[in-house]
Amino acid sequence: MANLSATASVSERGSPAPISAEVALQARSITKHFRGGVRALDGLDLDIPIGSICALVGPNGAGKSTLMKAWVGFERPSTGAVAVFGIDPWQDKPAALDRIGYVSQKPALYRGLTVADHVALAGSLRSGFDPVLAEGRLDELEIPLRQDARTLSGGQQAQVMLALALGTHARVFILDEPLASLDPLARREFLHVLVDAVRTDRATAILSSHVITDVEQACDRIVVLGGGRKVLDASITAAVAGHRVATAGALPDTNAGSPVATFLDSAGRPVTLWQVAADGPADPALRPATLEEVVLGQLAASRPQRATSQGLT
Amino acid sequence: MRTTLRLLLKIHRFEVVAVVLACILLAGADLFLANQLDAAALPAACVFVPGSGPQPPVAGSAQDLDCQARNDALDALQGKTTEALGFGAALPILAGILLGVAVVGRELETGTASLAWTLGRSRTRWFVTRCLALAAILGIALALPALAANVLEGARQPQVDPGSSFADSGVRGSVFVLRGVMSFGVGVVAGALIGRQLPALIVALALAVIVLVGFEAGVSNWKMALAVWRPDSSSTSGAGSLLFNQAYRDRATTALVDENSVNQLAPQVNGGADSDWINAHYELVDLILPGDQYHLVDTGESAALGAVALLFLGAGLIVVNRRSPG
Repeated sequence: MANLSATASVSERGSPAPISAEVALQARSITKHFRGGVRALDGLDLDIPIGSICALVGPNGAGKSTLMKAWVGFERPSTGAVAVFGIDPWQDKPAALDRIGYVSQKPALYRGLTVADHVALAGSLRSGFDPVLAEGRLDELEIPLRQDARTLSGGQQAQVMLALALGTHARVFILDEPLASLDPLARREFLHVLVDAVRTDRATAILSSHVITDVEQACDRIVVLGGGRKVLDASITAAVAGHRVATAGALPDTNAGSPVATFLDSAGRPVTLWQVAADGPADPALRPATLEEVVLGQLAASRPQRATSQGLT
Repeated sequence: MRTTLRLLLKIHRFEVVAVVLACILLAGADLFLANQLDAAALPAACVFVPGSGPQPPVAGSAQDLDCQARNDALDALQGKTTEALGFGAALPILAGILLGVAVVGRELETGTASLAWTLGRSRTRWFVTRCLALAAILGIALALPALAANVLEGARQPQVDPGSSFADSGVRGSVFVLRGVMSFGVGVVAGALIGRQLPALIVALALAVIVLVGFEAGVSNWKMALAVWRPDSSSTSGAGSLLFNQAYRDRATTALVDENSVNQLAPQVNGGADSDWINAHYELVDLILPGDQYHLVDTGESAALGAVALLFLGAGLIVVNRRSPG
């Protein structure tokens, strides 16, 4: 069995650890109901350890944005608690925000303000903001500081948002699907800048995305949400090492592990995800799983009706 | 602070330019009309007081035609003055909600609220800074037509000091400015609650009108409470006083009696009430708010409008601190 719990999957340890300043982001039994009975989060427990770059993955409606907005203090949980370095953003919003750099799903830049104006605005809103760092990063990416920010390409706007967040020297960066509207090259550049900055500052980052291949390169942890619940919480290495895939017709030895779920691969063929011991004997009927297959299989296990290869890209 | 103000003006340049331009245009129109009224004042030769002074010229004479033409020109100018002051009544409401809705409503609509509310640690500070700066700009801009309307009122009624007159009191002076600030507060709340500019503008306009109508009803009651009965004369019914009612006062008992009752009590002469008998027994009195109370009322009404504006801005702050940016 892969040691998935070794990377702080609290629910697998039994009762969750208490709220602590030694953990970057925490959620405890958090639920969120919206009007009309929509349940975005359903008793979620989660810890994001300091120093990790974590991918938050799941289909639309899984609760990714709601969870991130709860940490930022934009959405109040219906029940349960969230914490940023032990601070409840609804009890002490300034202290929580002081530790957060946030990038929203859509680039939210002001019409009529130049890129340099945005840097100045960030400086006026946040004491300790580092305009030199922000402008330096934008310079490196050859983003013109004097250009109206809303006339930049989608990728450049996302980079401006990231530069503003990084200029805060926050201890944790929360990025809500910042890659959604970017082309592959812009996604790669964005992730490169993010990883470089987070590693340099020894910060923490959580990044929600549908693009598994991108986050696989940038992140060291993965949390999969499905239906407002945690489906998987592990280091990416452990998640991949702890799973194998059996294609249609293959008959794996049941001693090799246990089947998780069957889903369709990108060619439309049924494949079965198996959970195995990372250091167990190799079974010729099983081949190594990709991270995408691990995610799809785990989502299929949690909600079989959504188990298709179209669930994630 | 300079950076904050510069960026705020850039972010809200459309609303600021529109409001400042409208205020300058209205103030300019008021001053222009005041100048025209001064120039069109009737010469002494065309002013006749029945029973005294020079007599009117012969009908159809050159002087008569000249006086008639001057009178017509003056009437036309007075009509334009009424139009200008009428538009002036709407300006503070429109300007206030246009600026107010943009403060939070546009930030929510365009998504920039999420940037501002995560970069800044305190939404309260963000909100107060913006509201103070934009309300100050609005107040200064509205002060221009408010002062110009005073000049116009002086030209319209040269015999009355606008500072001691209730004539057109709602479209000039500090009340004019504070109506704009109150509408600004309404716009801020509507924008913060609705989060979309166009629906917020419509709701804010309706709400501002309702609030102002209710407010004016309250102010009217207050003014009535301050009013006093005075013997009727040109100095009470004219000269900037606010006339609420007229009645007859019994000279013996000082009891107030309405006109119908007096007419029924009076002996009938030639099919009508005997006016000599009425004058002997009763005195015509006016319930007025004297013009010298104008400053008191203007200040009190302005202070109340300011308090209502603060209430709305306080409600806006609560909404901003509680709501999600979407």
